[in-house]
Amino acid sequence: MTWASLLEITFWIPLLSASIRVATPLIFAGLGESVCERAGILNVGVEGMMALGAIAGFLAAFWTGNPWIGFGVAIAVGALAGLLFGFLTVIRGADQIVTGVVFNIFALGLASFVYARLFVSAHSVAQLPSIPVYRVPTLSTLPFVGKPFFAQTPIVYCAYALVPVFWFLLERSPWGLSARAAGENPEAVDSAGLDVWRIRLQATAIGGAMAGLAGATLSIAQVGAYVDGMVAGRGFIALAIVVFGAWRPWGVALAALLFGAVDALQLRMQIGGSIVPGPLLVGLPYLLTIVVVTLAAARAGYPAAINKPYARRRLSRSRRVATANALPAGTRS
Amino acid sequence: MTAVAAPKLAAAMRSQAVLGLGLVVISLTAAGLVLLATGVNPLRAYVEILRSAFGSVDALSEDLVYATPVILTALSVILAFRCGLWNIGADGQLYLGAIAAVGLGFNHVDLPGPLLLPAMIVGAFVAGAAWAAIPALLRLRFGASEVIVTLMMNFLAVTLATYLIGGPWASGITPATGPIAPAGFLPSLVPGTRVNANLLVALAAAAGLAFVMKRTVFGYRVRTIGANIHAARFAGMNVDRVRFLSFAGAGGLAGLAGFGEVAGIYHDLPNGLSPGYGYTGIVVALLARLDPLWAVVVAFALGALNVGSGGMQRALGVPVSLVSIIEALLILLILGTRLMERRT
Repeated sequence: MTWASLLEITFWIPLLSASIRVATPLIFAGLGESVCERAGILNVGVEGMMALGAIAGFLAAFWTGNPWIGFGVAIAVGALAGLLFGFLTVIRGADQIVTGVVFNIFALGLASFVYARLFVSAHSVAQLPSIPVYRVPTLSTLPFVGKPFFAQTPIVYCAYALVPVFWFLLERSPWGLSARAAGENPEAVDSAGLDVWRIRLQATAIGGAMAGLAGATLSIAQVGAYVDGMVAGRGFIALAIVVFGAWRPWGVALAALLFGAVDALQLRMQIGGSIVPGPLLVGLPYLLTIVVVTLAAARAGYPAAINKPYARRRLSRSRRVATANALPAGTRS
Repeated sequence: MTAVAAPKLAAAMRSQAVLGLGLVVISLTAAGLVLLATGVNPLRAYVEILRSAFGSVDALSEDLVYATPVILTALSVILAFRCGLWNIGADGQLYLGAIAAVGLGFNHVDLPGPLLLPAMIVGAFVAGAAWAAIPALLRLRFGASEVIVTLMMNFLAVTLATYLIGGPWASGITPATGPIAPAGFLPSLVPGTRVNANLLVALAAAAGLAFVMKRTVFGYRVRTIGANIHAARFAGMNVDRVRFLSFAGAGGLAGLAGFGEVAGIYHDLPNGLSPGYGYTGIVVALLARLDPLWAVVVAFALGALNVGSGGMQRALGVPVSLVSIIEALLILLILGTRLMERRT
């Protein structure tokens, strides 16, 4: 990569294309996680749910030969995982970070186990056919933005569509209002006659489903195979994106694009050669995550009730979770 | 846990032990169902695990080899957790300790023989502590989530190790750095096995941490902060300073694990040095209920489970990742049944 090439449009268009491709799973996972967190649930298990989505989507797509069935199965598996996480954290009142961290160990182990067990005898890597690019008529012929934005696989267009859907769901719909209230002041939601547990479970299911979709995007649309460790910290990057995007769908999408751009640039610099040695460039997205989390933390306002289990009023006092936390106070971050 | 009449406490502990045992059985059964679904007889798999974990002196020694770094990463997680901070980054801190140990033990540095090992130990501790100091500072000064930052630092540590192995420190033969000087080799405790003196370091660290937590002012401060950070502040403790020192110390403990792998086992820095010792440390810390001495016991148990499942993989072709499923399932069950709750 030379400095002169930075002036040429042939450098920027593929870079923008790649940024959007790389950002797509982050957008999915980030949208789901922002719903969870707004409802008061910090789901550190996104990473593991993405791994489950990646393996489940891959298997379904591999066996049926239809990538769209793969995405559907991944969404369903992710939603189930989200409900399991919700059962432990919402209903049983377990610490959200402990549960998330352990869930990751569980899910990464399960994904790896299932793949190794099913494909251990296969001598070649099981590969899925790539999903064809769909060029949006007329829009894809626009100068500069046409190709990067509108000559992508349909899954990328799903990400475009879901950003306004999530914006509407969270910021304009009655459900979004009650979910946000559940994350800020669950007692008030309860007083209004709404079921905090139900709302939070719905939120974890949505978060899980979107993490599953994100994982399947990696395995089905981007790599065309399942590889152990393919999520590679993207679940945690999604957590950072949510903070950086200030828990708003549009902000989350923009933050995901920023990460996509850095990752795409890093890949290009490795190919083109640069002053920084290639193996170190791999660390760039992780470094950016640290910087972004730190910058955003200064102005961050996590939802007030995040990582605080809510004990429903109709439960007897002895079963309240408030006093029943196993771990030292102040572990929430 | 305090101020409970002795017989009541005993009864509570018995019922907890029964429930705990029940959960172990449930998670083994659940993992057994996964095995059945993939066409393996779970009983054969479990017998194979036991045989490979305890069936010979070699097997037993390998259990200890696995437990050694895990004790240290578990202590690392415990120390941070006791004052209310998450250390997901023990894996990365272990790598930094290993990098420092190799950097010092590499033939470039001319240290007189007897000084090399102490220098490597100190270097590994300092490197791990420095690596942990970054997320600690970002958390305490800016409020950046240490969960996210320590995890990212794990990836950065592996990136750094991969770069050193492939570049400046490459041996040119194997996917590892060149070897360290023989003066930097840790002696073996049992001739003919890989059990090395770092096991003693790990045991001493566990005893030391237990002592510090129970018997020193610093430990008292850490426990107070963990129990109620507002009360600690109100009592005039310098909360940030204690938390920073704990977290850096946690990084140092994980760094010692890296030192042991280099000086005791590999004698160089190989690719994929840690098969997730930092994450296993989290599992151990949680199962040991953040007790340093119990962590030693749990680390041996999980060491046996891991070594045993290696044998199961070789004999039956069942992937070792079964172990992660069993371990994590057990903790998820404990979380679900609230067995780990501390009754006050």
